Amino acid sequence: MSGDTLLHVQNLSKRFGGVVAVNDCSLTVRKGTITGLIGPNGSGKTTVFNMITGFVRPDDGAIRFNDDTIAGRTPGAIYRMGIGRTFQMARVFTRLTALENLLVPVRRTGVSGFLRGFRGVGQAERARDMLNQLGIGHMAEEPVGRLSYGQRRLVELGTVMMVNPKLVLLDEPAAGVHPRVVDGLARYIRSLNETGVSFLVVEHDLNFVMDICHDLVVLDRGRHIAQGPPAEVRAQQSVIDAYLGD
Amino acid sequence: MNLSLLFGALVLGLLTGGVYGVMASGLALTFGVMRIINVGHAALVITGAFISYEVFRHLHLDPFAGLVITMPLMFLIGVVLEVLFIRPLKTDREELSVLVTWALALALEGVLGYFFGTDLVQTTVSYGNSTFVVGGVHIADVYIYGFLLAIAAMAALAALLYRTNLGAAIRATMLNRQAAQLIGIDVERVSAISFGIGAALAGVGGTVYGIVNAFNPDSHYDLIGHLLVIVVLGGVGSMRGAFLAALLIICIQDITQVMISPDWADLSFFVVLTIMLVVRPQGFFGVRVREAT
Amino acid sequence: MTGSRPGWAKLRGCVVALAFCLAFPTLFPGSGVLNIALLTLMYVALASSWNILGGFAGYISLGVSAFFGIGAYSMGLILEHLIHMSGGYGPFALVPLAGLIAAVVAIPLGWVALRTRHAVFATATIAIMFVFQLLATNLSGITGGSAGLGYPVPTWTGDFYDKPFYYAMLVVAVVGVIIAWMVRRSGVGLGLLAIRDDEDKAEAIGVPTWSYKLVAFVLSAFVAGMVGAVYGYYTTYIYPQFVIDPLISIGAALMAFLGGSGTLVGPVLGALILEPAQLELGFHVNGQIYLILYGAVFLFVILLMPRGIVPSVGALIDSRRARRRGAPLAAPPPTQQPPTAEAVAR
Repeated sequence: MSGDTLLHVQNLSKRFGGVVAVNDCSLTVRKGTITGLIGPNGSGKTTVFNMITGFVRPDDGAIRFNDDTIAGRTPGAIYRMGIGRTFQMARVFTRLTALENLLVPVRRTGVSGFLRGFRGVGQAERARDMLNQLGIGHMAEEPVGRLSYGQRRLVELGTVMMVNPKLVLLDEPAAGVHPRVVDGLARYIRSLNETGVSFLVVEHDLNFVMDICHDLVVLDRGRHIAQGPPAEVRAQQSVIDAYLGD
Repeated sequence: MNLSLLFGALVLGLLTGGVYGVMASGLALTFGVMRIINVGHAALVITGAFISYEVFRHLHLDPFAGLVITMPLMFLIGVVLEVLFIRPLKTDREELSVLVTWALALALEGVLGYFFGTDLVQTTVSYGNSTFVVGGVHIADVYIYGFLLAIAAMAALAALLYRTNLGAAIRATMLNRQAAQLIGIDVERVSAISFGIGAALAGVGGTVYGIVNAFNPDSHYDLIGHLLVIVVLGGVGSMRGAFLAALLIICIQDITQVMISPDWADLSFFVVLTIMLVVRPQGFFGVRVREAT
Repeated sequence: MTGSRPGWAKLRGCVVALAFCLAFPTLFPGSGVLNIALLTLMYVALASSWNILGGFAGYISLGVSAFFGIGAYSMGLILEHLIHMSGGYGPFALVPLAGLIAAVVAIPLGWVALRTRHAVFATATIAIMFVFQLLATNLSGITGGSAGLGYPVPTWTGDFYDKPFYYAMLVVAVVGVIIAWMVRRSGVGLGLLAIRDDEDKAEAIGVPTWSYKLVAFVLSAFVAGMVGAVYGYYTTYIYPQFVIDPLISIGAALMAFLGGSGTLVGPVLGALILEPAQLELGFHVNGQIYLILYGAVFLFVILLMPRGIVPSVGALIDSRRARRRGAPLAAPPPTQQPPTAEAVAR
């Protein structure tokens, strides 16, 4: 767990029409950590995510990933730089099988893809391993449309991990997922973290967050009001006020 | 360059553009509310033309007056079509709507041909032939009436949308269908009504079209290309965009027709479309949206 | 849903089907039958190639007619102005060239049109079709306008007439199906299927959506162009409104949907069912009723069987098989299975 900054968000702002969603928000994610992004409903967490991953253009502010500016780039470009992301409602390719979902980001491209098919050497095995690790190996050949929500979540996560991203943004990974699966999910994230993957996790389930996060950032009404280790942050008055106040 | 000729063509373009604008805004409304492209809209226009023609022939009602019959009838037809054929589309609505509405267009063409035959007809009103001249261009009086009607129709549409509860519901559904449902709007009903309104607007346009042009069931083919281009230009889902785009593009077409040649007038349409798609694919008033939940 | 059954059964099926097609003219001589078979093969090719963009990626294109026409006109114009060949087997060598011309024209058109999403894209393809119809009619100096364009007349006649065209169309149909098959199993195919399910997500995980759609569009045009060229030579005289007819695109789309868009067999099946039916119907009913029935069948297929025959039958077979085995269907069980403890706790 090193102290280098992997992701640096500075003075990020975004308004939609008359609504200020994100207001001068700053946060950092240190390399090798799991950082939680929490805050009451409507505090702008998903909008921050959308700006980091290129789905929404910031009105103001800077986002740097390993010293590269990423604000304003397309989602595909940011993905190629090593940032993966899951969505609030698990997004998967419903007509493809679980295995095929995982193969999409690592499919064999170009002319050889045409001649030899999209399954690259060893990729199908990697994908199956990944599915096994996630506990859904037996669903590899099922169209994802038939899987339960929690299983789709896992497929989504597997798809993201297939390209070995350096930073993964998880948007409410535990939402709508059975408590037993949530434990397994937490353990999976921790195990990935031990191999060097950094995480930024938006979550409402505070137990989940306190359990796995090294660092917490609290947002309230579009603005960051605290960043630090969980124990410190939860004791801060401003944080308590944000959750309990008005 | 013959300036007065240019001016004459401009006037002609504006007058006819207004009528196309009414037709196109019906199409834009349908897209905005239901996210479907109704390729059968031109067939609805022709249906309106036939209805007003028959009303004129059998009831001896001036087609403009006959609108009191034509419009409600078209509205009803629109609602029925939506409920029977478009509402059942649950999955892949946007993709399949093109095919479904084309099938409707074909079926409508067949029905019209079956009942009215395939001969060319025209609603020949007594004042249909009187013209006035602007800058050396002959313009039928009817075009002015048509334009005034178009303005009236657009004003009525705006009043409906911005001053009634129904209009508010329609606009809410256009902005965000899911959110509208969550606040209690019956989006299915709004969709059917919107489709009906679109059909009624098509009927208005068709009434004028039928006075000015000879038409038969086949005529929807030529028309739909124009209407689709207009809507794309204006930005799908934007009615004012459709109206303005209609004025613009019909002017360009008429100017091309008068100053260059009639053959290339049709092509000018698509030249403008190509330029638009390259420069600003979302049209004048359209918005590029990337979906991120 | 790739169907991971062993390939041998499928390969055997294909070989048998191909053998049957090759033997067809000798089994069923008589130009009436061959004509129907030829037109059916034409739609096998058109539906299969339409499916590459329309079925795999879900981007409905109605421009097939335009490229069909471009192929027909290219072949005719080359034969008229550039390479003077008398009617014979020679002109068949030009068919791939016609396809190539259509493909090359498709590149800039697709370049622009594919910058838009589904509904606007469909409109753009409709516009493309109208434009080419206009061009074919208006550039009468080159294309003969509405008076049409003539091909050299083949030297064979009588009962034998349809045979060479049948085989030519068979070759094009086979090429079309093979191209669709190759795309389907390639990285491009997987990407197209992903685009269909969730285009934004596909783009977000690195699928070059615009490029893939363009490849599909151009390949589709290539096959359509070849089909048009063979057709043009077959009819020996082409007119703008018949060769660039919206019903061609609509027909191809409908057949793909009926059989099952997104599959390989679907468009073939759809063409085999619909084209002969359509031709028969055309004989017996007049124009208006034909249109009504056509529209009605179309609506029926799309509203009631939106996935088409092949996937629906496949699902039926799957559920029967599962029931027989007594295994639970893959539908979500009430409790989810947590990741295995040892695997995750590494």
